[in-house]
Amino acid sequence: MASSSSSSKTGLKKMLTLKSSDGDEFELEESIVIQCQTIKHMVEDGFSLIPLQNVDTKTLTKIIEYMKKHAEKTESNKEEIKNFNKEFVKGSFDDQFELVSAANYLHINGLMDLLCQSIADRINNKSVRAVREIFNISNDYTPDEEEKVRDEHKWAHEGGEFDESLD
Amino acid sequence: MAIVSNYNEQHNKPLIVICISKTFLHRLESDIYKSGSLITDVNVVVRVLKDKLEIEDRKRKYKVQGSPGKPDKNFKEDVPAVAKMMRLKRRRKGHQGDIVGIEATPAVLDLITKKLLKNCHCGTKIYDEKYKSGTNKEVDRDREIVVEVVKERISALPRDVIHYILELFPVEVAARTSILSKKWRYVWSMLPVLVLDSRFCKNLAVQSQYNNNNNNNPVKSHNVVVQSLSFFKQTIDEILLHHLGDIVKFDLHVPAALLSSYADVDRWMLYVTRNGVKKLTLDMPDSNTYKLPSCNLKTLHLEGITFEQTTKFCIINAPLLITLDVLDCDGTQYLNIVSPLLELLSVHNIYYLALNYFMNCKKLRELHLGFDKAVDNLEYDERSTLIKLLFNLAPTLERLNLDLFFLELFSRDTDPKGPPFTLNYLLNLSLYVDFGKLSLTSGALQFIKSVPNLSELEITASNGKLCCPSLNICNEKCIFLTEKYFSLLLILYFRGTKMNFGENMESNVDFHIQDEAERLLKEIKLMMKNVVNFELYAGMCLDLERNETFQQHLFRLLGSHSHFQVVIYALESIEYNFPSQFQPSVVLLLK
Repeated sequence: MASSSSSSKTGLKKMLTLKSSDGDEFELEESIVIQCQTIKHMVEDGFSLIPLQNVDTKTLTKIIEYMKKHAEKTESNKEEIKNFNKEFVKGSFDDQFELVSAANYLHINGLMDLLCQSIADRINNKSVRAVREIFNISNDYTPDEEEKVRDEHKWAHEGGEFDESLD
Repeated sequence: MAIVSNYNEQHNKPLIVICISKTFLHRLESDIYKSGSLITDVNVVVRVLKDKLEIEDRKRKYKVQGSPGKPDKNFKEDVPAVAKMMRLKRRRKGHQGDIVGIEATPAVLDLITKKLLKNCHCGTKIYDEKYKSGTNKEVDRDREIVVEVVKERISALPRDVIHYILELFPVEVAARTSILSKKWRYVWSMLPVLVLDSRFCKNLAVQSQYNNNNNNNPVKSHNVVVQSLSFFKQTIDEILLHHLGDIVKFDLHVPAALLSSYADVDRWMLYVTRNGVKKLTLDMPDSNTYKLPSCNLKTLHLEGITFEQTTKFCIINAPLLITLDVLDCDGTQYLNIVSPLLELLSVHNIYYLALNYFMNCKKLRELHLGFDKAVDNLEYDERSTLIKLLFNLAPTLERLNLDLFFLELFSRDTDPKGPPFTLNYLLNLSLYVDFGKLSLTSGALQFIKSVPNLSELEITASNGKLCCPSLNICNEKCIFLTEKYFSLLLILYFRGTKMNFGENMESNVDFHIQDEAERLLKEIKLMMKNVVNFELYAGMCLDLERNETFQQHLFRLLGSHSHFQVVIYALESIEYNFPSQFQPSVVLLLK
């Protein structure tokens, strides 16, 4: 009993349970989970079972993977983390948006930075058409209206080659 | 034949269903002929139904008819799905699109389907099977097309996340988002960050050249420059005109050619300064000077601005400027503010300020010089500049606030006769004293002596290098300086020593503070003959409170005055008890 407070490796660590919107539960050490501000505040308020209504199991698994890796962060494994980040953002746009929503909801700042930058990089030079496709945005302008809006920012639509690919 | 969308299992997302209206179909039609960009704008999934399906609506009767071909085993799933979607749609008014049954000619349908085959990756397969198999070719009577729109992924994100992503884009990419849909039209315009950097300017120049070439106007090389310049101006004007709300951050790269006339830059600066700009970066080509528009500016607050090095100094020309605040700025050595009318100058958290520029401010009444870092390598000519400045300002200066850095500068080379200036009009002096340094303490006292008519004195004391926390205290306490009487305010802020010093240093340092504090109290007592109203703010650390000599001094000080107020500002929640004789006049403020 006494060892729990003194030893960090073998003793009892405070565990938290995260529950996804699909009802799956994940048990994690508190030290890992407090990377996200939302949960940290809940822990401070004395919660140990944390229901996450806005995060499904798939997304939560990814986020836990991220938090676990980043909890190991030290001076020596910077390169490893960097590679991990690179791999982490390789998923489809769908997954990325799910992750961004979740990261925003959970307030994991590092992950937000990482994902937003990755999304921005990936759609940086896409054509309007490709962006609509990627984001599933339906164009509700009439052709006349669209022309008008295009004229407003004519400078932004000219010059340079746009990328039409969807990934 | 009917083409009806199907809930796409792959997406597994809530779907909003719209039927294509007649006008929408015409748009599709014309668009297919033009560029075809519209079809893929909605994620279209097309499905063929083979049996008749009727959905009753209050207003309209929808008919979805299929071919009388082979019974489709999917049909049974499809009917309720479509009905459900229709109902869903009716409930959710305000979503895009109307539910209107449409009739289309076979030719149009062919076009659409071809287009869909080409562009619609999720619908292609389903359609392929059904259409190409020829099961429904013979039917061409009632046609309806239902298009499903999958939840817009990015639009569902909160606005601040969208802004965050947009800010990561180059400006033209961000601007292009306004064409995505109506919802997106003003998203970029409301983005509080505008970065028009050199890359952006270069792009514009390329565009303008490209336009010229396209117009087949052989222009002379001189005209090319003029044209690209007017294009640049026009574009910036447009951007600013279309902007909504505040521009918090504005970066502008000014191409060299533009500098023949500042009128445009002036106009833009005027615009952004009226729209709450907080971070302004003007990237000027080398070897040029820009004067901010000479305007009726009376108060200028510069916060977090970086002044870049140019061969000439950056001059802010505001001849009517009365108040100038400079806070958290970089590169202030290049800042030159010309205003003969300046009455209040306040400088905080900047690394360097060329005091020379203020020599001619003959109306300066208030001067606040605050640096929160102690600078190690002080230069003597700076000291003489400071002395000279104070000498020059002596006829007008009423309120002076010197921070540690300047006091250190001042105390560096003190003259036994005292400073060469006498600040006759100075009524309010606030000094930041580090009692850990003897030279500073004596410098401060010498300074106080050169202010004969002082009515309010505020001393913020620190034992060591830790200055910031006590600065705040000092600000808070300014409120108390309301008495018109000659009053002396002493803020003794003896901060605990644990933060900055090692364990073994601690006792030494404490001793030092006590020593200095006692000495200061002694000195002040001598100077206080005319003090009517005395306030003492003392932040006590435990050791000091227990120190008897200190207490004796304190009580002697207190005892010599009939009107005084003592506020004990205790940091470590200690209780401080005064002997009963003092209690009526003691205000004990324990924080």
